[in-house]
Amino acid sequence: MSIKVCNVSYVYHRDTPLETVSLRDVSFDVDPGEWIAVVGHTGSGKTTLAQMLNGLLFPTSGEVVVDGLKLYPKAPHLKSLRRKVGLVFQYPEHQLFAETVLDEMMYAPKNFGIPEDEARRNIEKTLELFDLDENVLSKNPFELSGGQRRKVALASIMVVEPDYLVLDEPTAGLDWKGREALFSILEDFRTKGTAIVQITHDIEMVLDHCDKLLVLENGRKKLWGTPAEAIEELAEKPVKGLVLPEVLEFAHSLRNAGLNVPLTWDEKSLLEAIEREVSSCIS
Amino acid sequence: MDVEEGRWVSVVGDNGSGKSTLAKQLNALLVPTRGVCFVMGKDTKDPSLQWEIRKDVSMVFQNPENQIVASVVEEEVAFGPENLGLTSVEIEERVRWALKVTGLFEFAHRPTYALSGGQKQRLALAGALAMKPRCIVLDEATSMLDPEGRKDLVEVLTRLHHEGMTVVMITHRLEEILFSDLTAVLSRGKLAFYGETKDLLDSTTFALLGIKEPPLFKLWRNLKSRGLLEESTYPTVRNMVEDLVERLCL
Repeated sequence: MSIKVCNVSYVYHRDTPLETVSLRDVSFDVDPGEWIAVVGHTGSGKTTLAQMLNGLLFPTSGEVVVDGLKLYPKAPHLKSLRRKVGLVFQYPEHQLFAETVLDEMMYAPKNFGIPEDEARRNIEKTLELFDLDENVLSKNPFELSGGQRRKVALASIMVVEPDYLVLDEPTAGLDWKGREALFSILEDFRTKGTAIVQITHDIEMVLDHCDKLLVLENGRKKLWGTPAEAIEELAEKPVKGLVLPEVLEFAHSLRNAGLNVPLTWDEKSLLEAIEREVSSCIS
Repeated sequence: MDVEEGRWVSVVGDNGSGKSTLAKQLNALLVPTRGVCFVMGKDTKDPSLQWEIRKDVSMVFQNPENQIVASVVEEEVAFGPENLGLTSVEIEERVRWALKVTGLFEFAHRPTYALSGGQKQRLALAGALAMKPRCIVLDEATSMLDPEGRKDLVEVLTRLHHEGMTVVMITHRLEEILFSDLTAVLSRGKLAFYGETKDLLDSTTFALLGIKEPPLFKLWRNLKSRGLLEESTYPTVRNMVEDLVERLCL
């Protein structure tokens, strides 16, 4: 049970003057319950990669294998695959189309042939996870606030209980309260074994949540490791379009100035290290 | 609230706190339901003054795509001045100036679609500047930019501000208040704080409103309270590092 991405390359408009290589020889795995953050500059290939994980695009070379099944155009298992791998686009609320929240949330279960009473139960469960009241079901999505619309859009994907959830810039346009709420929902799903692949250009946001970071630069895998490993690398060898969070930049500058401080975004340990350095220096 | 001419004011607050509504009052795109708003001494509710107000106050919005109308960079910048009925010499002069200030001079003859996101936002700013406004209002103008693009935009604004332009910057990135003299914090449509940015940083306003501060601000406050930083140090990486390095005579 995992997603395996092996030596994947992708070329847009192949054999035309517009030919553009988006991904080059990228490999990584996603295991159940893991939270992977894919970070990179605009045009680094993040979104292309996301769309490959549920068979919207297929590799030009290399392969994507989900739970042992290879993805290729018109594969018989594509439909069941799309239930397994939920894909949330940027601004998912722009895709709401039904007249009521209930119709919106029923759409995917119907599509995948889930019996209606089971779908109803799932909807109720999902609403609860998203902290949405049941009376939203009869509302038109456009009557809801921006934050609620985002929740409904996500909930309509989560209602078929995908094993893998791929989110493209899920926090775009949310303020920090909305962001915190979203992260706590994602953490809940992760605890239940759902794997999360989050596409983002903001490292600061994912450091506390992700298990592994995949850093892309011009379509190539630049870095793959735990947040702590990735931070060490990024501080020494900057990657195009990615900035270290300010706290880390601060720690890194102090270190370069000769202070013995850890490269950490944990405020408490940083504070203690600075205090220790200052007192040892003064004495 | 009052904003004196020549200041740089940040307006921050959560989604739905009223930031954009406030911004739109400043060039009479919206007028108060109750109360009054005077811009350069002119009542925004008076329809006969709105044209003058909009000449004084230019706006730049979040998405430059929604604001760019022409297909060539210099034509885009000339669009506003042309509407003012200026002579072609004057228009040309303003276009050249606005493109220079925003660092787009070499792109004058490029098609607008070929610009990057950051360049497009600077083009929107150039178009606004070509109106020679006394005040520029930016409504989340940095939110779609990458760090590089944000830096470029702020540099342009800093230069204009030094030359006396009033800047009102609506933002949800609290780090950006450090560029401004004054900051207004909105919460559910009310003014929760308005004053010197420095005083806001020292205050408990953010905590009281449940607004999450940038981690560096918090670290800065804690370092200060433990006497590890000078009172006058600003919460920027550069200032904080310089202060500590000096203290340790490294």
